[in-house]
Amino acid sequence: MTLLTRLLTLADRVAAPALGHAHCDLPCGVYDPAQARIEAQSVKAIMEKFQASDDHDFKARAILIKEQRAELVKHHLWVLWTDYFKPEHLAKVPDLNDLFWRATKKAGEAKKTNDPAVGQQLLDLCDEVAAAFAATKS
Amino acid sequence: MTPRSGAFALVAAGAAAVALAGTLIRPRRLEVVGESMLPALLPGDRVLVLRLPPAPGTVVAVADPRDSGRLLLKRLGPGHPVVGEGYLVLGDNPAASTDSREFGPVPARLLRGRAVWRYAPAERCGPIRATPTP
Repeated sequence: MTLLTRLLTLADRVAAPALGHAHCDLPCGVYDPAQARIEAQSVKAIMEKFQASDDHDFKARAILIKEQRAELVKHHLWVLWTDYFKPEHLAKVPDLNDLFWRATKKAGEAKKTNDPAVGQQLLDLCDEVAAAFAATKS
Repeated sequence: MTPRSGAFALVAAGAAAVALAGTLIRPRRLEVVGESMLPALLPGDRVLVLRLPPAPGTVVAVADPRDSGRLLLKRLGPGHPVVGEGYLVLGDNPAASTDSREFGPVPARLLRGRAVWRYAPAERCGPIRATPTP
C-alpha cells in the first residue's frame, strides 16, 4: 500500500469521505404516482381478503405480503417526495411536505392493521399525491 | 540554531507547505455512489480529487447543475468548452448515467477538481487514468 493510500485511509477514519454521485436518476426522469397507488391497492385488497378468510395459513401469508406492499408504497412515495418534487413545487402545493408525512405515516399504519378502512385512507392519500403531482405539471 | 528550533522550523515549514498545497489543490476524498462510471469506478470506491485544470478525458468532480450541494463524478467530454457553454460531462456507462445528455454542458465554475487516485479498496488502488479523446 502506498503512503498516499495509507494517509487517505487514515483521513477517512477521522472524517468520512463525501459522496461522489455517479449514477443515473433512474428511471431517468420518469416519475408516476400510479406506482405507489398500485401497491396501495394491493394493501387494501389483501386486507379485505384477510377479513374474508378463516384459513390461518392464508391469513399469515396475507399479513406478510401486506407488510411488503405497504413498504413499497412508502418507497414509491419517498422517491416522489425526495427525487421528483422540488422546492419550487411548494408554491403550487403548499401542504406538500405535510401530505407526504401523512401518506407515509398511513403506509406504516397499514402494516399494523388489517382494517380495509385504513387501506382506503392510504389509497385516498395516494390520490392526493397524484393530484399534487398533476398540479406541478399544469 | 539549536536542534530543537531546527526541528520546529522544519515542522512549521512542513505544515505551511501542507496548508498551501491544501489551498491550491484543495484535496477532497469522495466515495463513489452509483454505477454510471463503470468500469472505471465502482460503487464504494474511494477517490482523491484535486483541483487541477480541466482536461478532456479525465474524471472530474462537478457540482450537480440541478442541485449544487451534491457532487457528481463524471468524465469530461472531448474537446475544449465552447465559450459561454461550458463542459460536457458524461458517464462511462451511458446506460446508467444522468449527465450532460440530460442537463447540458456545465459551466467551469461548477468543476470541483479531477479524480486522480483510487485509495480504496486496497486491491484496486492506483491512479485514475484519462481516456484518450479524439
